[in-house]
Amino acid sequence: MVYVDPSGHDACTGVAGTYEPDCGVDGWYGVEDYEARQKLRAMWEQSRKEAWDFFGGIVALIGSVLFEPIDWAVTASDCLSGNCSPLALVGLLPVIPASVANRIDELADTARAIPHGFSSTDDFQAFGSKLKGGLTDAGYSDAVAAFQGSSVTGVKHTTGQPFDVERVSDFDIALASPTLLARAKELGIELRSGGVRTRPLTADDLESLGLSKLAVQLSQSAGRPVNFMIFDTLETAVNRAPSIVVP
Amino acid sequence: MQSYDLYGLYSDDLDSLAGIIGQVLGITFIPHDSSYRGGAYYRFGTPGQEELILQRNYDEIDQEVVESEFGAYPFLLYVGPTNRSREIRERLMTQMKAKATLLRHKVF
Repeated sequence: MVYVDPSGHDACTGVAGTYEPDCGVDGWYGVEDYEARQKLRAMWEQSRKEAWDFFGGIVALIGSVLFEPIDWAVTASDCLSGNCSPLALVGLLPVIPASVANRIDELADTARAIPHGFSSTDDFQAFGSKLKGGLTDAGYSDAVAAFQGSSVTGVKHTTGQPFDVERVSDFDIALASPTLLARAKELGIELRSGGVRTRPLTADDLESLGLSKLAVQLSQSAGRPVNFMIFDTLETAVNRAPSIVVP
Repeated sequence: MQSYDLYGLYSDDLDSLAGIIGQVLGITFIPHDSSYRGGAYYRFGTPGQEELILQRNYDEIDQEVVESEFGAYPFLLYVGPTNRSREIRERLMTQMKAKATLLRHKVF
């Protein structure tokens, strides 16, 4: 007599295999496939969680509307003290909620952000031009680059120390390119995360991919090492870590 | 002809390992930080010339080992490009014995 009883529920009679009758003491009635039942339970739990998340969002929206006057007052106060941008000032207009204008302001901040390690937007753009030119010359014109790591967050992930304090902070750059990923795969460079990215490229990987000279030029130009990782798409890369896309 | 070697290393911690390898090879590692290299790591050399990189065998993105073929080694030493692959290997093998193993050797 063989019981298949991974959850410890109370079976009335013994039946071999994954099918098993039950007395209903743990909410499971009749003879069913145990694994299928568990999957259905997991799906139910997932949909219940999603429903809670959805209603949580609605509650937050209602809250933001109710507290909009307070938000307006805080924004007005900030602007009176000179601590707001022209975009946030737009939020003082009666037709545009301040929270919306502040959000637009945040997005504008992100769009004009430059990674730590560059003294100006011009420096960042010059670096970006070299990077894109080098990738095109190497045959990867479809590649889109994005900075990641402490040059984006401003702090080291492991220690929380600021960028470049006590240790030299490198530039970690994601290269999103189906062509580059396919070439890496051809060369036997190990893929990770289910095949959507490589490991960080080693010096011999760079040599094989024809990117050694570019890495050296960029490192010399930036005054710090440049590390590359290849991703299949930009979306994959930015979903993995905070990123600043190279314009 | 330039060589690119990978060593697997055993040690209690990265900082002391950097000191030991530095003594064995007569170099001074510079402390670096990279999210792609497991956070804190050490580097010696100049881009385009000889470079040595000492890091954890740890990938922060997926929280798994970087070199999956060599997951038993907690630390990795990437040597390359270099023209003195043999000299470095002999020094590490002789002075670090079982704590260092050559895992990969490529020549371009």
